[in-house]
Amino acid sequence: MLIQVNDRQIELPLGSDVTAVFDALELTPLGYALAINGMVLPKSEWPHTRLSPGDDLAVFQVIAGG
Amino acid sequence: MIDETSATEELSAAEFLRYSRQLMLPELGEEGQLQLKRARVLVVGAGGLGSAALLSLAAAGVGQIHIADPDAVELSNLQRQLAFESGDVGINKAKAAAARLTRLNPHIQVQVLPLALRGELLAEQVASVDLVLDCSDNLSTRYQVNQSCAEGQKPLVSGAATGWQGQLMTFDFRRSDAACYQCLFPFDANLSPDDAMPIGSCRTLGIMGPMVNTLGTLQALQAIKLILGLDADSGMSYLRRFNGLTMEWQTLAVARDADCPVCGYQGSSSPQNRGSSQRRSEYVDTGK
Repeated sequence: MLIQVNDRQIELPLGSDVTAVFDALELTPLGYALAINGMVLPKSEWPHTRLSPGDDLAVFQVIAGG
Repeated sequence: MIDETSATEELSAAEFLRYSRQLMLPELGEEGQLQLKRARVLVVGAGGLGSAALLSLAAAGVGQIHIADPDAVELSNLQRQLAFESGDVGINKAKAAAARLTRLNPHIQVQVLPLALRGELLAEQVASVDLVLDCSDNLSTRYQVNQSCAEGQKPLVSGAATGWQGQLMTFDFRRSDAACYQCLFPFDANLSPDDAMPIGSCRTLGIMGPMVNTLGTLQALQAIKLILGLDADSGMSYLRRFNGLTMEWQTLAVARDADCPVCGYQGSSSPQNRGSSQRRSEYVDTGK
């Protein structure tokens, strides 16, 4: 299935969970947040949240500068 | 001579003139200006975000402003930290900012905290104000400020920027269902976040000055609206991301994490049960 991640589309197996996105992007999720269709998904729900075709994801890291 | 700064029940003629352009706004008016005058705000960090936020809050007439920062002004700060001038280099930022704000608006009171707020002192400061702005430059401070505001049930307006990216968050802990910074960016409380998450800072990643100015000014705007009861977010927590290169904003709703050790106190409404208040007090500031 195709999903949108930030400004690009990626292909994931049907039924993939959220952690598969980080594998596909080759990112270590430390300090990252993830939103699906405009709603941030608590990290505790990542392992048991399955993605649907066409989902629009925002993946981004915490910023500390001030 | 009447001490105008202590009169919080009315505005002087000079104050009416000074604030006349915002007094015109139907959402503000005289009562709103008095609300600002009575308000007490803690600003943690007087760097780029803090400079812009502090100048806006002081100019708008927020009556009591507490400024905490342990660092001294450096020459490399002046590219973006608008509260300071060349002659301030070497002076503590909280002190230098306080002097600037007092010159800007003699009707307000400023408390200087030339130190890193931690543990009990942070909790005391949070308890003594109505609202907190996190303008700090490191993660350990950010997690501690979040925890103190959650426990003290004080609204927190958090801003951050590096490079061309900015993040703006409001967590209204007066509401028992508010999400928090830890819900958004969960982190193992047994680790030091700045060591475990080497995400970089303005020092290592660089920063475009108007990015921190913009985010800090918007923190002040959010603070003013919270003081006036004009919060358009209706208590929901949002993260707003700003890309300064493309000029695009993205607004994301932040839901509370039921497993959050800071605010996810599963079934209990007592703030005393909101996670461990001790966990984060052991952090050492790895700062800059």
